[in-house]
Amino acid sequence: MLLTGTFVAALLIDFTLPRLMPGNPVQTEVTNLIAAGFTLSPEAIKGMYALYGYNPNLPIYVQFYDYIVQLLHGNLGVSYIFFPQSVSYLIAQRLPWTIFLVSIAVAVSWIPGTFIGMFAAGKRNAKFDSIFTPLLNFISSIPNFWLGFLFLIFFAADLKIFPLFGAYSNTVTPGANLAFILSVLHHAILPILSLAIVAMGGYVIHMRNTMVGVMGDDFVLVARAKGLSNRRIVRTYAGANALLPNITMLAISMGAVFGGNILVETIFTYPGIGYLSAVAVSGEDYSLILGIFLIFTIAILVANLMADLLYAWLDPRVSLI
Amino acid sequence: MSDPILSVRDLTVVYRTRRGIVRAVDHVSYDIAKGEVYGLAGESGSGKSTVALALLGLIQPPGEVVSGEIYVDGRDVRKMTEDELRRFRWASVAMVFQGAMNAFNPVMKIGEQLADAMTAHSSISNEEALKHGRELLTRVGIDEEFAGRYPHELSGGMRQRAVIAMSLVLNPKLLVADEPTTSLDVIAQDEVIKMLKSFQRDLDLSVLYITHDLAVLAKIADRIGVMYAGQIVEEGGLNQLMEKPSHPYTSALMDAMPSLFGSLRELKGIPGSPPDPDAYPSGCRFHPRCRFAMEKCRSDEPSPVVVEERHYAACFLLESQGSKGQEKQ
Amino acid sequence: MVGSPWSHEVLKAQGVNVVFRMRSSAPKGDHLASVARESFYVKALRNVDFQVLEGESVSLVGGSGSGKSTLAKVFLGFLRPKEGSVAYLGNDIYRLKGRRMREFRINVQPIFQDPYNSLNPARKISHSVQLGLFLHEMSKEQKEERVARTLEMVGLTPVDLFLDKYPHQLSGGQRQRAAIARAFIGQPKVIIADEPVSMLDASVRADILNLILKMKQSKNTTFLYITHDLATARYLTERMAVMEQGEIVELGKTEDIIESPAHEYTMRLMNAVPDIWHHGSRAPDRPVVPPRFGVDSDGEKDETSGYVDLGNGHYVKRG
Repeated sequence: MLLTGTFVAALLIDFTLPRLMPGNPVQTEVTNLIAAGFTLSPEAIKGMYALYGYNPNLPIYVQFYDYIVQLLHGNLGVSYIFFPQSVSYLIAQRLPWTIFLVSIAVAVSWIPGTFIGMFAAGKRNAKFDSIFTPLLNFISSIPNFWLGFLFLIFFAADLKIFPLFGAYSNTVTPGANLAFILSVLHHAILPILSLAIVAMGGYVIHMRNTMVGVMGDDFVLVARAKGLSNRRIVRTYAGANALLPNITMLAISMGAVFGGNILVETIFTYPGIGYLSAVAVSGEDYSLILGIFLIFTIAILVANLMADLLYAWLDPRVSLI
Repeated sequence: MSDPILSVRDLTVVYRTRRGIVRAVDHVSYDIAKGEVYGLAGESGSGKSTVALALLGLIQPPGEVVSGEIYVDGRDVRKMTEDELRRFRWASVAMVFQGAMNAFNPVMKIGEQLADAMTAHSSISNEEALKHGRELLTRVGIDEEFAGRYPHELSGGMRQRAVIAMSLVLNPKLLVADEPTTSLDVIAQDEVIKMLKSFQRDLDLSVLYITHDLAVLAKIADRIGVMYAGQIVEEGGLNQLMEKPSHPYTSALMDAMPSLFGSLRELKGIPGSPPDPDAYPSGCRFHPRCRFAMEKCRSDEPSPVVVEERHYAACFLLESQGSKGQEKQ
Repeated sequence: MVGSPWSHEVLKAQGVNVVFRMRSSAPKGDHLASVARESFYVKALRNVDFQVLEGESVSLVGGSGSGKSTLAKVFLGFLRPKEGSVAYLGNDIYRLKGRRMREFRINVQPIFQDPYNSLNPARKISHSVQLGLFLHEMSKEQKEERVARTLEMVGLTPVDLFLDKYPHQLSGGQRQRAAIARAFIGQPKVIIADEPVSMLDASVRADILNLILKMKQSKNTTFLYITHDLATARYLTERMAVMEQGEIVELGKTEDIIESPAHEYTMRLMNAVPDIWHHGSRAPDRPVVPPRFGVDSDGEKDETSGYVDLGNGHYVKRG
């Protein structure tokens, strides 16, 4: 329900925003083109309106209907910067790279982060807490683009262990060959680390705090009274229960990861959606911006849906309906 | 008296809080004989639950057992290593906790929670353990099908019975029941008490039954200890205590209990409320609420005095009655 | 089941049915299968007829799931029944509007089990107690004076000390005293108290019971007491309705029911009550009932059977 609602809201914003802007998007672009020294005939301008599928004379609900129909056909309009490539083509080309980057970054931060948090809580002692907790707080508040800069300067520019930009080097041929795969991994390591290290700090802190709460619950006391091993108590009793809020935390953090990804991809000139969106924004490519906005929304919703499914699968008290 | 299954001597448990040291349990001594049900009655903050946790070596920081011995079947719990303690728990002393709602891990099936207590203590296979768990569930009147269910799928009464089944998986010698019937209605409470009583007889269990409700003990206990502000202020057999309550707190508690049968008596409450463990009154801790408080009670702490055979109470009134007054060892 | 004709019915429920929708428990381990889950209905109240007469003290007694608290909520106007009518002084509670609604709210006051939940933790006691005068037209000074007087009556003295305290600064007993003050301050006609002493320590409970007795007697307040504890019901009320699975199974003068319980469920309740004054050798002749050890009650009842009149207003449901 909530998902559908969020999705509809995203659609509405996507639909309304360009119509709220002064003038209209096509007019803006026509002006831009003229300012750039192009001469446009009235037919050309008419053609542009047709190309963008925008007719301000139609009633608003017809416009919305048309918009939805176009969306369902996968038509997100035409890019201005990359004219004449369509927005959906551009996104389809870049999306796999971003999914690759973000999913690995989330996996390598959430899974170890959760385990570290679990055991940090299981072995609580004051010394550990007084060093570890501020350190984690510090890490989780580092902006990941800044970390990316440091990595780039240190590991790529100075030490030259990692490449400076791109998703793979131009000496390899894309395809299912080892050289290409290794090159992709080589290029992805720094961006992934910039995303993952920061995110992991938050996951560890959250898991640890949840664990400390759960360790005080009655059933953990019962487990201890039952003479179970500390390991089993931490994993099967406290851990399994503390995991659930950390899944919610994962879903909530997806927005931040995607947001951070824009800057990280830009810094590493990584050919994903994040970099594309930075290009689109600096080039005032409205169709592309809106298309990417929609894709981001869908991506975050899908991540939340998956978190919900995971939650329902792990928690017997939660049913899907 | 035969060798007691449990013998607690001078147990003192403190909690170190920011406001200072709280003596939750203060020089408590009691014995439980084999096959006996010992009822420990006390109001909130009396330290009765801390007494139970100490038995299993489960006092955790900021709590600490600072003195005393706890002998279970001749072994001092306080001298056990962490590993000995782990093996001792549940096998020798099992516990029926208060709040059956929260005694089970919500994301684990009931049957598995019964089984893992067995597999943690012996080399029994998981299948064997699950099978034994199902048998025990059946014995407490729960269909074995529920072994495959999660805790939230059981009713409150069922869960409480499942908790009892879980406490019996290792045939413990001593069962600690800490408020096993709070939040149950009278009928469910009665069922649980009868069930505990029947298991206690069949398995020759010794039971430490902890409750805030003295009346409940009339249904199950052989001996009763009355706790107030971290101390046992009176101890005796059920009938001794009911017929001759000798500490003013015990008799005041009884006067506060309504009766269903016989003529309608006027209830008399005890003025004030139980003291916070971090601010016990000086002298006899009951003196601010006591009708008979004397000057001496404000400054001196009374020691237990023999009222009659195996019946003690800690009150200066009994000493001043002279003749019988002699200190309990 | 009619009250004495000359008595005034303050609250009256007629043919009240309340149904709760519940979700069936999940098939084991299979979470996706829960998509196809069925819901089923539980009858919380089945065709209940019940009157509370002016000035009387009456209790609703039963185990958990008996419907006693549901009936209290229906009388408080919190839960509209699916069928049947509920009237306050002859007017349907769920159709009251404007001035009459206000009158009802002023005159029917609840006391709940957990005073910690019913007092706003962020507001001083003086504020919470004064809320009982929310609908009264009075000057600020009059209200403050009334708050002070009521706190004095419920024993929260010295008053000046308690006025500025917050709930967490009070003991359980003191909090319940504050809740009682809030309920009685507006001089309501009816107090509906749902297990007001079950969370309290035994040593404190007796004083709260005595306080309720004193307050209702001094104001001649009509009193409806909801409990699972027959002994306190006996102490507070002269009439009693025993409820089981949403039905009133026995109704009558408290002493009559305790002297000669007629319904099997009443006997079971009585047997279950722990009584420190009557145990072992001093045990009274408790009523003999067939044992029902370890059985979860969900047997079907014959819907058509009515009540047997045992005289003196003592009715028992035909088994």
